[in-house]
Amino acid sequence: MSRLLIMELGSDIPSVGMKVDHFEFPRDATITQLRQQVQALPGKPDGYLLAVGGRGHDSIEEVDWQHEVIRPLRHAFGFVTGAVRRLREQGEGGLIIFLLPSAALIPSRVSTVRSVLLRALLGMAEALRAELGSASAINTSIVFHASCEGEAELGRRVSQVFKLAQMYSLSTDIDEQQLREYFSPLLAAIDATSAGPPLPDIGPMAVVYDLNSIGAAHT
Amino acid sequence: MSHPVHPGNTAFVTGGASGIGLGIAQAMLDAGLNVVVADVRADHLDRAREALAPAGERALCIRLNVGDRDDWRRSREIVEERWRKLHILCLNAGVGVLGSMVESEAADWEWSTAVNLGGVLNGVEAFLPHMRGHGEPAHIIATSSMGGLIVANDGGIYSSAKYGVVALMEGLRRDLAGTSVSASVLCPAAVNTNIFDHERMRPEAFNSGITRDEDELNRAEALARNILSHGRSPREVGAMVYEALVANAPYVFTDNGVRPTLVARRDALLASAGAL
Repeated sequence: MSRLLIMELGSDIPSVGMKVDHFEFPRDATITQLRQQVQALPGKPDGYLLAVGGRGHDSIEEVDWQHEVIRPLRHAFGFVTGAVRRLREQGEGGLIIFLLPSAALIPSRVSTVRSVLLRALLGMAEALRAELGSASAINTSIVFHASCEGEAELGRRVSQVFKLAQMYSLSTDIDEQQLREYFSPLLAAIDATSAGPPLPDIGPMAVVYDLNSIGAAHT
Repeated sequence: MSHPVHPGNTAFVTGGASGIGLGIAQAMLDAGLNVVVADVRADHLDRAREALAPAGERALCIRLNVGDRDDWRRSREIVEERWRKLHILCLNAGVGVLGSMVESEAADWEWSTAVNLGGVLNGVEAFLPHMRGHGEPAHIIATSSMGGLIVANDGGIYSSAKYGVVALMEGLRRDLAGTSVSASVLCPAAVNTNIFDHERMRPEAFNSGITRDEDELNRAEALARNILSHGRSPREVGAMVYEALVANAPYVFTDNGVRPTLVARRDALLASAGAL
């Protein structure tokens, strides 16, 4: 069974049914401090799990953005980049898992305040996978969780990303129709836009989304 | 809901003294609005004052650090004192911080996030209650990026902030449906701006302490300038924003050539759902 080092952001984190060591840190920790703390930890976790809950502040007009968004983002960034640095120092491969509520993809399920944090974390996760590249021994996977999902099912999917390191593992509350509904207005707006001037060749784009490199499709 | 783009109304544009912000400011002035051009860079504000002088009293250039909530409070006071009501808020200020997330300095993340995401959050905090309170049609538009919808391998810090901006504007639009205020997000691709020349103007508070390699910096800036110089002009983008505000469009793109990259992300998700 895999052993995970877990950073928790939020109070409603689902259990993944695995042995976990909790990463404790001061609320006002800086990125540098978090990186150093991760790099100095004893032992050898099988993976690093950033686990995020879906509950957040409701009102858009009476919100402490630093507390709700900027600080947790800072914690996440320090943790995951510290984990990659540690794995590189040890000359080893490994897995960084972002465990995010399905609302990171389907935003209408959470408050706008929480949605900002979740989407920024989703961007961070996709970008880390892009930066590390498909040839790296260090991988990043994004596991979405549903509020209705049981520990056994979530644990099964987390175990699966250890084997396959796929880019996304979707919870059952995310389906084709919802994904198409999110992207349709975006693509319609693009289709209503004219072509810009031709640009110099800047190389391949969106490589991280290549279907040949995202890993197993069906979970 | 009727739109707020009418002569005599007032717009506020952050990062408004150059690039896309200046293009938006000029489009709003052309439409007869009063415009507050807010920017952190004194050199850009000087040039903007000169460029916008023909608009006379309808253009006001002020200094604003979008990461500073006190600056935002003062900005709101200036608007209320001079024109009483703000109708259009363009949260456009941004800095291009590229490079590895893993190898980055903490200051890189702090600076990018304070401006690219914090600046937008602060703007909403400062002006949304005012805009809702006066009850006239009003609109908030934030500049994200195509990097707010797809990622590249060297822009993670930037993309994370820009993903958050897209989520904020989508959520605001949803939350404010049926009220006098609406929201949109601008996702530019290549536009002929100076966004990747900002490294030399990095504030002391976000100094990483690392001595920059001038040759490398020059090369990176020259490459970015060369690519972006082929992009849309900021005036064109300003006109696109004007049209989007009139139409209350949720999303504004500047180039349909970005379609395949967004489709690639959608298809990666669909494949992961077993739908491809």
